[in-house]
Amino acid sequence: MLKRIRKGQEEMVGFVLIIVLVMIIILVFVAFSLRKGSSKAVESFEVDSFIQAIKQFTTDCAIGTETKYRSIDQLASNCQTGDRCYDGRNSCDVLELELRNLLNKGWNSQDRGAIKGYYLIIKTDDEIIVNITEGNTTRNYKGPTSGLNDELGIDLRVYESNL
Amino acid sequence: MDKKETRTYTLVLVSKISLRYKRSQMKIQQMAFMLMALTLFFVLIGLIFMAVQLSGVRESATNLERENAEKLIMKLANSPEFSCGESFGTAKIDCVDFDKIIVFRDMVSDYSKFWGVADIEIVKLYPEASQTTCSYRNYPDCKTTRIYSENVKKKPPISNFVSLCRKDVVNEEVLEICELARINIRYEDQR
Repeated sequence: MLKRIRKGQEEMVGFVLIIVLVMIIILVFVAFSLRKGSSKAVESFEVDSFIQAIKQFTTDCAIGTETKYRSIDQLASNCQTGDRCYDGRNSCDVLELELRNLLNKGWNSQDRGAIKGYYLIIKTDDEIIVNITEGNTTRNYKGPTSGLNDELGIDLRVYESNL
Repeated sequence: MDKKETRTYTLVLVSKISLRYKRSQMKIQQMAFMLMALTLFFVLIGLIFMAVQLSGVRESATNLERENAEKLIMKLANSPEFSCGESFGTAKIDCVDFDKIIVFRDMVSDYSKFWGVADIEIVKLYPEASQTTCSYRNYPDCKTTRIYSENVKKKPPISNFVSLCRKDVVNEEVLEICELARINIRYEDQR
């Protein structure tokens, strides 16, 4: 009789152990599946607007005449052909400097805490004109939407803190 | 059967019945425990599932609201009251005419409730300007242009980038200058 009671108790303990084990496995699985964020870019209208806005930005590099200031869009073409600014500066140096300032002001991590870093690349015909990387990369980043038909080939990724 | 034997027999019978009773009790307890554990198990799974589902719904609602606001900003920036149109060569996207909006501020009362927002302002980001609100006196060397503002409790701002373009005269030559700015809108907080 005592043996039977003990057997019953052992069954109960075994059952509890199985339930606890299954619960732990499920919890671990749920935690992992929640943490495992995909590294696909979130298509962002904000990134589209930023690209449009910086393309129109007027730089302080004049080419040809003293007052013919070039936009980022135009300066990228000038950089490709190796033109120099009216004041003698290299157009590629000015382009990179202006882009760094624009990115720094636009995606400043002090104003927007979630931003960890950014990456910008401008290329035409498989030739890289500018490549700027700042801060850290994360799995969670914003990129241009597929609707942005950009002739200049600007790719911008803004990395935000992981969820 | 004498009296002693009868007593012994009764005792054995009672102990047997008692043991059977205890075994049944044990079985009932085992069953109750199993049922409780099973219920708890499924309730926990249900709770986890609900939490995951609800967080997804809340996130997508926030994203949807944000996306709508971003689209509204894009619509605003490209509306005739704000957009550069063809004043700066070809038609540009996300381009706000600074010359136009500085004058437009005075007529904004006619547009009350037109956009469905409580606040619209444009903040110049780069090149850096002095920390002042734009007026005819300090234009264009100013940072913030308040276009429309209602005196109500407002939600935190939602913003998007625009190109802020104006015409300027340097050495008797008209130049087109475009700067980086942000357009901020705020909805009324009705809570």
